[in-house]
Amino acid sequence: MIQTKVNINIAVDVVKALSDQSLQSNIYVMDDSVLESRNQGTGELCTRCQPGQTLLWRIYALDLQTPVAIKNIEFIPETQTYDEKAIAYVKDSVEADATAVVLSDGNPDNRTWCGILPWIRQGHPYRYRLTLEAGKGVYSVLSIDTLSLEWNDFTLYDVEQLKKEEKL
Amino acid sequence: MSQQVTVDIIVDIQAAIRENSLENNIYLIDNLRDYGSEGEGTNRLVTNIEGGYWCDYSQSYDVVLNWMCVSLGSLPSTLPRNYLKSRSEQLFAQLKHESDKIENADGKVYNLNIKTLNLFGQPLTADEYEEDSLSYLYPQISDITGEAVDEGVIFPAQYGTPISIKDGWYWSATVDTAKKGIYKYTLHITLFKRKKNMWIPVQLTHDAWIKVNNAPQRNGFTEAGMGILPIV
Repeated sequence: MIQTKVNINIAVDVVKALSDQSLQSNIYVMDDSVLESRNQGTGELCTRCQPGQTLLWRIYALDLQTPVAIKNIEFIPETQTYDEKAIAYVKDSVEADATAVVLSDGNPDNRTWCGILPWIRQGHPYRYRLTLEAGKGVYSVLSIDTLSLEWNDFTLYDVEQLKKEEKL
Repeated sequence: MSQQVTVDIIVDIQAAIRENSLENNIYLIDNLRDYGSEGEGTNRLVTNIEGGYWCDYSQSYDVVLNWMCVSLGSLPSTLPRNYLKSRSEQLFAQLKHESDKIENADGKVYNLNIKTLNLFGQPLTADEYEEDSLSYLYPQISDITGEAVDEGVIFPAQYGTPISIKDGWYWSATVDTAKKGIYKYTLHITLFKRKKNMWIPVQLTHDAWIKVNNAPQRNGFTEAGMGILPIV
């Protein structure tokens, strides 16, 4: 394996995301995979990776001052429909009590999001829901469904593009 | 959530100078009200700091603590940095006023090259000394000492900044979040009182506390160590 670890970095414009109550266009995700991932720097990043690699997700607030942390990453089962437009916000699971104190153990900053990619089907994007927590309260939790991982050992060519360039 | 922590120190300068004490004339606020800090807006603030550690007990992320003085009794700090200077230059030219002076803690006197204004942006005349509407020089933190510093819980230092509301200086410290407990620290604050056309320092102190908590860094997928990604 050429690369044992793939870093996926997430940058969020927190103030704008909270104002819009949406992560659409307010999230920039990029990875350092040596294989060509698609849609770098967007909320539709499809990270090209290989089974056995460790993937590590990190998050940064664009202005460095607003609080943001990864609350959850869950892989969406193929049988479940997902929202192409990506953006939902999770309201029910968050305590509405603004004065609730975050216990050290429940602190999302004390969670590291990394894991080893298992043996998956090639050429198929595995979508995951990224849930972020920015501050506290009912409106602080935002999700996005359009990120994915993909394993393929072959190079993807855009046939139409090749035809245009007269290479095909 | 990896944001920096800021403690705002609001000083009622006129009252503090009159009483020669900050005790009833200081209001402390931090940005962690919803994260366990107590005593917001009072003179007894306990800032709650949450930290994390890896399996070898090394610190997993940084916590930065900043202190900023806010003055009750000065022209707003959001005015452009050279407001006083440019107003003063007009006054020196038109009205032939002299620049104010400042006495340093070691007794030396320096030219401030500004003309003190009142809260309306108007110059004070030589005869009147409008204590209530005088625009005081901003309070400055000259040191941070005490148990929290001696025990190595916080490592404070003074930094320069171009940001206007910090008036050129601010104090900042990283926190050793491995040291669980409640620690006191002392803020050494210098106010300036006015005598004729000279500013004279008044050194006062005030105590505040930080409470440090920590928890082990866990893997978000397994709640323990690293494992296989849960892809279905």
